[in-house]
Amino acid sequence: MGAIAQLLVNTIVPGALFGLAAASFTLTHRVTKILNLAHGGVVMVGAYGYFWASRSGWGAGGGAAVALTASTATALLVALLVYEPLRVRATLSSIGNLIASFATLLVIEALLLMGFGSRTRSAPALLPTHRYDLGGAFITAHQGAAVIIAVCCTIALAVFLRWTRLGVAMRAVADHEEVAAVVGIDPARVRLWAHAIAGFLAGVTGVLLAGELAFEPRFSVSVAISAFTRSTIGGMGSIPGALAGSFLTDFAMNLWTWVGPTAFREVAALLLVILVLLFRPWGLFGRRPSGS
Amino acid sequence: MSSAYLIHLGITFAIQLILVGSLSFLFGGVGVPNLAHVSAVAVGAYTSALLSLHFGWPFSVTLCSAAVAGVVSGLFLAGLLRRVRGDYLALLALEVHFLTTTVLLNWPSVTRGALGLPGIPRPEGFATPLGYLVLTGTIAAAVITAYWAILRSPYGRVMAAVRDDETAALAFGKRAPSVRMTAFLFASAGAAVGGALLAHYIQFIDPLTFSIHLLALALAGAIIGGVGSVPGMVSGTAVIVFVPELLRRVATGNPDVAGALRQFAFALLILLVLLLRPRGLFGKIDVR
Repeated sequence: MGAIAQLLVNTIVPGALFGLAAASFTLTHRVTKILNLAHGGVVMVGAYGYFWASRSGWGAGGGAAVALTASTATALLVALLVYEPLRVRATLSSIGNLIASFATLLVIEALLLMGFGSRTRSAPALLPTHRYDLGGAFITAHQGAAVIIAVCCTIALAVFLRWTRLGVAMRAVADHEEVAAVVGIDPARVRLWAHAIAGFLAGVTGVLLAGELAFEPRFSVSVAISAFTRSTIGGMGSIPGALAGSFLTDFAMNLWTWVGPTAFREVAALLLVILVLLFRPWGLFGRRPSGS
Repeated sequence: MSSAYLIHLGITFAIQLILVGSLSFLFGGVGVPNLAHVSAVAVGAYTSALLSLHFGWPFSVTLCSAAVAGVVSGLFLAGLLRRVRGDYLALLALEVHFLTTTVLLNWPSVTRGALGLPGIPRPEGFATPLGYLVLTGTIAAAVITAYWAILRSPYGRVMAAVRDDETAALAFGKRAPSVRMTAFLFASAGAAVGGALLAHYIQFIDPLTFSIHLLALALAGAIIGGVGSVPGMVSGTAVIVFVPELLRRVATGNPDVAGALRQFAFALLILLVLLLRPRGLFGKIDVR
């Protein structure tokens, strides 16, 4: 019984955190058609921003504010310097964008390495350390808060997209940019908003991650790949899909660890995404594409 | 500049030329952005190293075995990636790259995991640095010449057709999937050979040797030089071999920073090329 409860905890905690990362990743992809690998770097900018702020005497709230400002600014900067200029010449969903995002990820990672070094760092948890016992499984206060915050942010994002004017504008640009322009929406502005919001949420993920585990700049790449894997499994472009895909991935990985060799748990995630891409490319919650 | 240093540069250039060239061949020749490229390099390196360490086979045999192992890994990878294109292929390939690192780290009975394989012997007869330079130089020249020959042959034109417009190529009766597969095999064989040469040069390999940074380096070389062309392969390799040497002059105390600075420089160069001159120096196509 305790083992099952722990399995659940071990699924929900990373599932929620990486689900938020995946949701913001998929937002960018939906609105701009770009697989933004630099997203992983932006998450780590949030983590390091929080780390730096807490070292410099800012409290948890202030530190988070610093981190979120840094991550949003980074995301916007990347959009302005790399993605928007590339739109002028590039075709949509092209390799150039992907390689550019990969290069940007590496640039961010290199800057973090130069600024903070390669040793792992940790930042103070948002809540004082206290472990709760849930039916035999242990969860820390920070982990619990992280799950709640991450899930709430993801739900808020889905609500935003569905019910607010800007959200509707984003969906319009996502579905058909030219028609959106015809009805008076400025696609460039909307895209920048999408990048900014994604950057903000990436920062939230970073802050939550920073308080939870020991991190180093090299995590940027694995966070980026995680975000991609989970949103693909859940269905690209779907916010609830990103969260669901994330939970499913962690569940699969934990199950694999339980029944098989611990070492290769990432194999579970890779197998899952390959199966999805081969047999149901639109993911669990994506829509089957009709026509173009 | 001592001759030892120049010989080292030469060997590094030759090995990197094979690594960049095989990636450039696959990416520029047939349009497959194979971000799992380093996996084939690792397969070749580990195959050759293990065969010479455990069985004492001569280098000529282990090199060929490495090439065969590379081809097998290419078969497997190409089969896996058969149904996907573009961005998704690139990202799946990147995941395979990480998977390879995981396998290498977590299979100690074969790979000795993080401990790596030390003491990889130099090939008999080419053990001296100068001898090794001659060996790698010759093999690099052979591999690049092979790629050049394929690219400018009628088959190379079919590859270009598949790259530019797969549907049109299919309409003309060209078997696009098998063209892509064949290109994959040629590229993987080359990458594996490069990996074997690398292993026997530095004489110690571990899973971290085949990191994302090796991929970024090869990718930078391919893109900066321009994918799919031999002058591109050569010039791109020149950039990635000589820029670190120049950066060495930038005095940085912290070894972390030196590595990060190199990564920063290469990634920035890739971005600049993509933004300002997507064709690279000598490329046949824009990386759009």
